[in-house]
Amino acid sequence: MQELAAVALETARSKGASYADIRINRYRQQSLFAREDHIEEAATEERYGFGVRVLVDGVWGFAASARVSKEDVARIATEAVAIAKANRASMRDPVELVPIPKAVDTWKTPIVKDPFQVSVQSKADLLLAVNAAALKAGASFITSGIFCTEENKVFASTDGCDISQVLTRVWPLFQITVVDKATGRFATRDSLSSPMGTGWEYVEGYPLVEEAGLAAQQCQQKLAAKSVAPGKKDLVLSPEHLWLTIHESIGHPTELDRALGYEANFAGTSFVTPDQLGKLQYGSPKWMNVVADKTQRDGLATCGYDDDGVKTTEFDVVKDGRFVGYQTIREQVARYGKLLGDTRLKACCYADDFASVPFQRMPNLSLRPHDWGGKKVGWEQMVADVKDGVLIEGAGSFSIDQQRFNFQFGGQVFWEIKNGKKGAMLRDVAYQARTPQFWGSLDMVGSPHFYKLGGSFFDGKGQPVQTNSVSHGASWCRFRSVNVLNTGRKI
Amino acid sequence: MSFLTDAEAKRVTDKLLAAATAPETRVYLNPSRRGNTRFARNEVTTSGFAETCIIQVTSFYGLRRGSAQTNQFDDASLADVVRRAEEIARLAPEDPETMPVLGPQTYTASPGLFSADADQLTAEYRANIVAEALKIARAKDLEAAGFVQNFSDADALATSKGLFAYRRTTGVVYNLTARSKAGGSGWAGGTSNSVQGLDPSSMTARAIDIALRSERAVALEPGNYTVVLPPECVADLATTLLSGFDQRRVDEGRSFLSQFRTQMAGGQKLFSEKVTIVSDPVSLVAPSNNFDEEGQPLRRTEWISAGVVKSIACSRFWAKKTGREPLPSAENLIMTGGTASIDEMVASTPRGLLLTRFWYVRPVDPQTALYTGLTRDGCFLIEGGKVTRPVKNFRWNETPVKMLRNIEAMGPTRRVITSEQDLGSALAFPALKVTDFTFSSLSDAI
Repeated sequence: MQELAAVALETARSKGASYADIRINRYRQQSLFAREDHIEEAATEERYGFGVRVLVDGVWGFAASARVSKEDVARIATEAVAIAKANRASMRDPVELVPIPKAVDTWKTPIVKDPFQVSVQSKADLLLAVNAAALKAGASFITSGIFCTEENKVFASTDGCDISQVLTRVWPLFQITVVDKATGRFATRDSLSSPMGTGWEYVEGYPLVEEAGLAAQQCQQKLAAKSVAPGKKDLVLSPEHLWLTIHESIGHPTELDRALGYEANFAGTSFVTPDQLGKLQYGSPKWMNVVADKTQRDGLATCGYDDDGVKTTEFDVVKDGRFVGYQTIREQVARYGKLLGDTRLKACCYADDFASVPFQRMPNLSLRPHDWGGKKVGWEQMVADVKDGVLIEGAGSFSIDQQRFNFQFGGQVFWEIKNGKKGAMLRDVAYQARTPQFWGSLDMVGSPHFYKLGGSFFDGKGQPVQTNSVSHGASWCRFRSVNVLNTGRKI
Repeated sequence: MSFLTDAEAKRVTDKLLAAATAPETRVYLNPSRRGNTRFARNEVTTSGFAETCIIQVTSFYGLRRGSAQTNQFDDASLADVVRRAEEIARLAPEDPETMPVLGPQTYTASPGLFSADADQLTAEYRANIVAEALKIARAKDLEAAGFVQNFSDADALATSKGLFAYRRTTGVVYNLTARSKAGGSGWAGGTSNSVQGLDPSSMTARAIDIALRSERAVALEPGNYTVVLPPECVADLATTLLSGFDQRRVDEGRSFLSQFRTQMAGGQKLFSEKVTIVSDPVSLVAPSNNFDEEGQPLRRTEWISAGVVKSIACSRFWAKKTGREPLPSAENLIMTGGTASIDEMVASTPRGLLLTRFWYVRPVDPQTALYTGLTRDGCFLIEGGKVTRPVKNFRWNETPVKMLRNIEAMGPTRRVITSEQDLGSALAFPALKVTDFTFSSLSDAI
């Protein structure tokens, strides 16, 4: 491995690169899916290859191959330099890199049980038990699944870094459908489980079978539920719902590359412009504190070093409701750090494949729970002070504009709140808001007892689109007077 | 290894099948080369080249089935991927829906799928497109961001029953967003299987024109408007219908089409009689794959004809169970267009909106095929048959069923890319003038 790295870095340097790095990565994935009473897919995947990134006269070049030999490494490093040279004419400001500590290290996701060592039979048995519980409880259809992934990464650079990491992630899930043959209507309910940066112990500890039974019942309730009356209502949101709202309305707008226009053609820009750093009142001063943390236990984006070779860390994004820190990568610190008055290395660089160009990706980013001095504060305490509201569990439909102002979210299960009490189930619910107003309406955050991580394996960004695995934690939260829509239609 | 001729691919698939001990085996190879150049803030940001490959083996032991994938071509890796597929297949419980692998099939060639000019495309070609865009954007004091990508793929599929299928595909994609200091934003983009079929200069010009015309947008009340939708918007929303065109989902009662079973059986229209949508691998406008992942041949299929649902995709298993013929899902979609120009559609509209593209289109309710999304990069008010001023963006909540019922006018069909696709999708749609489109709130985003 070290020989291959040496060939890449030497070749790049000899062809004119001032900086070069190589990532030699091996990926493993296993997935099983069960439909009703049978396994419908059992698959295993391995990918191996390397990518070489070079800086020539301040312009990036990148090339990658799945053919891993000294000859191919030299060929690909040469190609990366040629690509950088092809683009020199369009350069405006040369890329510079701030110095980073030379890291020679290893890191592994702390796991108790390797998911790849768990037998296929055990996994199939679990999924079939989940499906049986759902069917017994009245589900018309159920698909359940398990994903297990591993990224085995080696990073070496002309800065002297030599880093080996193993990242493990798991995700158990299901989706239940109930069809009402009398009316022709149908409803679905997804599991509230989340992908996690951990081992099989998460799957063992998660009550997927029990939840499947409950979900099947809730799915039937949904079909008979009252259609929501639209209007301004208070919202009480579960951690399993809120992670997605945090992701879309805080995570993406506070990426510096978006704020500066680097993603303007696809993912979009951000309403959080650089002149607002330290000034923008993002949300409630009393309740809103958001932290980014790529060292967080069980986080999907957790690792030892990012794909620039920078050691991962934790940093504030919103403190007491005020926006205080962008997510950044190494080259942005050199170009924009002094301008922004923030020169910390935040290690937010990631590529989803050996063949993908590393760029800025979201770290785990979470809303801190409120310190209630040990008292348990969750939805029950929040509901007590709501006259007309909706309690939402689980993430559902989601959409947000290209500057992250206007969003619309659904959910999995909706409950009416009337005069301080959680009442009957509702359907056809979505809420629409403008990001700063929404976070400004936050008026209660639950205690750490209810704090949970949610997240996604498939956060998309960039061109070509790359996926990033990222977690977001929260406790229960309450928001006042949010615009609730009725999404029911007849066609 | 990056590229395999059909003879070379056959040698690899033969090797994989020879190593197999399972009663039935299907193998799939997909070597690919991809190059891309990104730009933003009026300069190149990143640029890359990658050569990768997928080698997938699916092993069958009666009703037990499992698959394994690698990207390594050496003999040991090929033997290992077969071993892993057979191991997981033997461990998997029986799946009563397992269908046997197919034997030899007859395929219709899709000549427009591959072109030598796109296969040989270089970083310099991409750099030249970018340089031209940046030169014009800088001259107009605009800021440009965009993306050029090219790809060249081979796909080979073989089974232990003697099926062998092979095709080559190439493509070029270009899109850009130009933004002005006065709050204008314009977008344009397109794709083609050949370099000759792509006109980057006209896209650059269009994005810049829209950016300059969309400056200083004013807020307009949300509500229901007549809209003039360019083909990109029509494709974004119309393609969402596809997930409902699945016979099993329809029969099980969980497609939006399930509620129309009686009407469909009676040949009644579900959409405007102006709507005809087909898939056709040999289309020269938007050519598509000619075989699916099981090796089934793809042929011209009318999904909707003059507003009547004519075909619904049906898997081999569901076809066998319900006594139907299997019908593979669409790999391209072509909607028959009309003759009205955008200008003519605007001229016939007393009050309405002219859009550029949609963004973040997501499902809200599968029962009614309700989707939500936003307008982006140029939204204009039409008053008295004229485009009078740029307006701020909207969020909309609408179903494509209604869009395809409320058509007042249609433009000519052209190849498009949808709002969230990189690689060349095979879609060709017309611009439409549609009444009563539901905009539910304002967006301040530019």
